[in-house]
Amino acid sequence: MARRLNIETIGVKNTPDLNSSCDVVLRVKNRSPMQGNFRQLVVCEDISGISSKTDLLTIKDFSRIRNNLTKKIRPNLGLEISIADARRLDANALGRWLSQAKYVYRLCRSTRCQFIISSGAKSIFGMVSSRTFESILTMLNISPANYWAELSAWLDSKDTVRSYVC
Amino acid sequence: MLRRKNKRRYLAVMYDPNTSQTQVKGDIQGRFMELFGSIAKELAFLRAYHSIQNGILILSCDLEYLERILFTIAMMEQPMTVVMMSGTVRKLRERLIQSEISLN
Repeated sequence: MARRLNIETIGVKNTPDLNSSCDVVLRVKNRSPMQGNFRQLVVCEDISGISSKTDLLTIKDFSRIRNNLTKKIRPNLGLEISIADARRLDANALGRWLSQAKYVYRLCRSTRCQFIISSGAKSIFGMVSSRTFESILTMLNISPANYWAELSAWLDSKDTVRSYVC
Repeated sequence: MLRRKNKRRYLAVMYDPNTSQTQVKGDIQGRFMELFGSIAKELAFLRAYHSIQNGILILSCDLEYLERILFTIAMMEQPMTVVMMSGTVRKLRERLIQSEISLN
């Protein structure tokens, strides 16, 4: 399905029966010493739980964490917002979500963090195609070409620190 | 006098097959109007076409409003996704059939 949507790399939760032909990045809470076949990103949903090992902070309730955000983040941390959260919002709240997403993007630029927009899909119907991502980025006044290039570079930078247990 | 038709784009939208096509089309139009207003909804000239594939809705819109339509579909409460896009409905149907064959 990801291939059909022109998505080359997908981030998924770690499951024992994971078998994919697509480039997969595992979203884990704690990095496993045994890396396996897939890259891993340590994901944190609570701003107070950010540690030096955290790769990605998922922003759920922006208004609650806005004041702490600038104090807690460090360069090269990914800040992720999810489209699945925006789907439930009415028009007014969606407008606010867009302005918050723009703020997070500007914050990422100034603090050398990586802005990440994800589908947050729980089923194939919730997946978002690359073209649709680009239209959302355009709505946020973000250049899609820059976004994909920066995201690829960020993912590659996370890959260089992989260590293998022999 | 120069008569020129506005360019259109045809989208294949994949949705949960338990929902009816009419309801999906109405929901997309409603959400579009909620987000961008009645005038944009009329100018986007949204039209739905029959699709032989179960769970696929073919939707067309004015090219100028394509970004907004894609944004609207991504922001639908009931998850759905645009799987294919084309400049003509015939080409889109052909590609849908081809992709169905390649998936089988």
